[in-house]
Amino acid sequence: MEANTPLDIVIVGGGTAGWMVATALVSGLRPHQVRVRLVESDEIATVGVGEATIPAMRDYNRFVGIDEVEMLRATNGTFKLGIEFLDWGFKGSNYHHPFGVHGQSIGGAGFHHQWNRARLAGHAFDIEDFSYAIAASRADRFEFPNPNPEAIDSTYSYAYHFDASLYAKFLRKVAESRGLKRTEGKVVDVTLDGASGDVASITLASGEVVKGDFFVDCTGFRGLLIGQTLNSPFEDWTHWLPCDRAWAVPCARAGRFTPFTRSTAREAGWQWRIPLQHRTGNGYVYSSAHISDDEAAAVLLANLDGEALDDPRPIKFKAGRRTASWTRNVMAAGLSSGFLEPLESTSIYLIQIAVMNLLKLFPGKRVEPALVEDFNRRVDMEYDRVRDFLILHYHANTRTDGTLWKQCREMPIPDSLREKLELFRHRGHAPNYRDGLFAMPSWISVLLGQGVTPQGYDPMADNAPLAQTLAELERQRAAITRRVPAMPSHAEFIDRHCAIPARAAAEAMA
Amino acid sequence: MSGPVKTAVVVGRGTTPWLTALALRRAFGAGGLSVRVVETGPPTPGLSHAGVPALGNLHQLLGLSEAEVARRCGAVPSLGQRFAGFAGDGTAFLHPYDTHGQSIDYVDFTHHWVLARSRGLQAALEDFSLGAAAAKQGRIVEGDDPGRLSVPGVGLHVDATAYAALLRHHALAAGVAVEQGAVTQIDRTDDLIAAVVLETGTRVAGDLFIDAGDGALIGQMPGAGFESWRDWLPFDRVLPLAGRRLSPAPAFAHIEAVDGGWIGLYPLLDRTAGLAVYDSRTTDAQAMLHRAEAVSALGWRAGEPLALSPGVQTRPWIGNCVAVGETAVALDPSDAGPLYSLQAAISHLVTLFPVDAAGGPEAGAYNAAVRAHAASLRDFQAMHYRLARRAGAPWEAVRAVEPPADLAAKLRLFAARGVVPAREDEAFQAANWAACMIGHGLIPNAHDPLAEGVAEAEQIQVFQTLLRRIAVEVGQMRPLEARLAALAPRPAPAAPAPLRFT
Repeated sequence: MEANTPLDIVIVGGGTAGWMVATALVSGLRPHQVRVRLVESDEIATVGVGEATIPAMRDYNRFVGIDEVEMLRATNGTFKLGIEFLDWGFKGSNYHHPFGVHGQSIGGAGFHHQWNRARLAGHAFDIEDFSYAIAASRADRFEFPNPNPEAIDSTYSYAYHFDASLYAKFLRKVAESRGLKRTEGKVVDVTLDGASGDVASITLASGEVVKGDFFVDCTGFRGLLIGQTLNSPFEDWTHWLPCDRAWAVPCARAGRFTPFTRSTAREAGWQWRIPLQHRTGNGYVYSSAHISDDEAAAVLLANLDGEALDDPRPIKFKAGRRTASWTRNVMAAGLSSGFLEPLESTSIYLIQIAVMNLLKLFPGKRVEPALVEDFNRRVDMEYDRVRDFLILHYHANTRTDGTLWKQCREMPIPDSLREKLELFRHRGHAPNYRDGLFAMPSWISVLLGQGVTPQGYDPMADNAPLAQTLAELERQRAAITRRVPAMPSHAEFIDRHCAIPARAAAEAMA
Repeated sequence: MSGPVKTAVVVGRGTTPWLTALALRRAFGAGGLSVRVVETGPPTPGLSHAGVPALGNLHQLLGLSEAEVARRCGAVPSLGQRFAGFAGDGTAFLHPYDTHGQSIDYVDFTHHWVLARSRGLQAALEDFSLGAAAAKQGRIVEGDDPGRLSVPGVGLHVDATAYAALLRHHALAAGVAVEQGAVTQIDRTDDLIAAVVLETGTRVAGDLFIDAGDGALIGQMPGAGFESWRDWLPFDRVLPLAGRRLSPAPAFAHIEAVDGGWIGLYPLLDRTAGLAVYDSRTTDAQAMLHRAEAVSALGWRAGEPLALSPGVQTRPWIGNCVAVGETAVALDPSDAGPLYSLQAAISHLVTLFPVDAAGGPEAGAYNAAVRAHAASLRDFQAMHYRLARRAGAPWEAVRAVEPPADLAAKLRLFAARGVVPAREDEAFQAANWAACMIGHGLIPNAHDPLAEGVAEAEQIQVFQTLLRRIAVEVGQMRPLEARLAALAPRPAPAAPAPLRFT
């Protein structure tokens, strides 16, 4: 056994990353194991726009013991069944990446193979008609999935949209109630241990020196500890993901109250739309090489559902990740460990991955290199897989407007993605790996949505007579069409389940 | 030659070609695929196969019932493998096809065991495994009872000749055609084989050729190569043995390390199949036969020693030639590895069965998948040798070799914190790795701190409850011998008589 005194962990920086890490640590560990302290400065603003998540986030909330209704009320949260992509791939395109499958397998072959077989035989079906999550999304309806796995309305999952800064506040309450010590203050100096080279302490503007055994860097893009102090290199992925800036602005709630995020491709990037209970979050992610900041802001403001509720706020970033997001006695979480644009709502997931892996590979006072090695292997794999999935959105396009799209279409892509594309084009073989994002249904929906059409299909599909396949396609489509109208609307469901009190809504608007 | 594969030709002898042919026919026969087997000779006599529980899933897909495999080829179910002699101090452990205990508050049981051990617990990890307890008490797991503590997997041991005959019988019934004779000529242009010509003069043409034999097909393809794993899997001879039946028959394989190699005992219905696996540079067949008798005095008779050269084809699929089984991946016979590797190759071939006979990206994907699975099996096998503490050659020599990088990382991390860094395409699960690493004496230096979320008194109570529950559940299981008696052999009239040493 290791030393019996608790490990002193210092989290530098609050925000979503800092508070997610803090809450998980104080929830999963006991006081005789860790003393967790979080240092944050009120002077440093966090980016408080709406944020979209993926279903994995529910695992995090369950782990730390968060009540879903309470959380949604505290964060103006809404439900999410997927993402709608407009004008991606080609102008006028419209597809969903749902949190759910497309259809059920027929005759031992995957559904999309049978769908493709029917298509090649001249029987064109819209594959989106076979996704329950998409059908519900199109109708702006929501309810919890049916726990009975036989039921057609069990074939999807869900996530949330919420105000990330309110989520961080919510977590702060949870963490502080569980013994986390928060210190307000700006870090002015970092001291290394002369012998080991590990971080020994940070010094605050007040002059206070905060010592720790282990540090978590949640200082955002600048990576105060991991980058500026320990010089963990940053692997630049701009050549694959050229967008480097965004404007973010909330607007009044108007138009459809969608149970999904919308992403609209624009000439020099894409625009997000995230519906919250009291307002809608918007942003334009763009490549500064392809549009000026002013033009980008104008495009965003010209494309809002309702009145802008604030001035647009600029965000600068660079796609990539640290080659080692755990270095010595410092683990980076959130933007300090890497950045991937929010196209597939993975920011919070990547924080979750970092802290859950830290718990799985929790260090002692002396950091065992085997733990660091495996942590970085796991985190790298997650980043690399999300990266490939994002690049797919940019690369597989036939858009004729804007040089960004031509550049992305013609750029060399990672081998790992090129092989996936070849297999899908050739025979509809979709990636199916065990660890990390994204699962096969996600790949299928985005590959098809981006216009990558398979020339062939799994030969096993031919075992079922074509007539049987066609009849089964009709049956599956009808089952969805029948069930969806019985669902409550997204607005009704929220009113019933987790509406924010009217006064809080008014305050939130103010 | 572009177009769908209409005819697949499978070349080899024994289990490998027939399992492959039957699987392809079942998967694609209804869609019109014709499958022809070129049987290049009779199966090697006297061998047995060990299958991991996953084999049962394949049997189900192929339409082979457990009862049929038991009755027709005297298969005996197996709940795991017992390793003895590896530590060199008389200790042994059981690697069950099962998990241990139950995770408590998100934390794997192994960590709780490591923590409890540091507080003085005496019980071995395997005491908390339902599968291991059943195996040691000669019971057998039947049916899927969701009320059980865990879901122990059931593997099997089977006579190789009888098994090949059963597969052949089913394949022929399913419409697979057969030609007999050695291949004397391969009619190939670039990386596409058009036909193989047999010693009889018969020319067997096809769109896809599967090398399920000795590597004669894949070996002559342009760009073929072999990567040797001899450094980590040091044994180069396998001596088939046959001995008296153990009674009662154990519900597990017994692997015992001896000087120069190891002896494997695999219970069958009518005999005990044995293997002596050794390094021909340090010992010989005669000496191994004596050692087998010392391990278990069953009056062993030996067959001819077979050469073993562990390694992998660098590209098991080239053009329209696909290697499966030992030709693609040559492993130690430990851990039921060879049949497991064959099953993985067949499964990947079915998933990636080419849509165009002229080629496509399937080959690259198959090669990556088969090699990854093979490497993970190799690492599992190499782990036993790496962690063995026996003195003498070749045991000391193999310990001196730096393990493959992935294995080294696994051992480091497990030693540091009891975590198994499972990778994609992993053949064995974390629980299997933990059972063997701990069994060989690699006890983690630290446990998951989350395990301490459970108070000591509560933990003790959970452990006691687990042990009681295992005792009760094992008590409800049927003795293996009772099951074997209920599934008495009924040789199929059409099947040829299994070859025997007598």
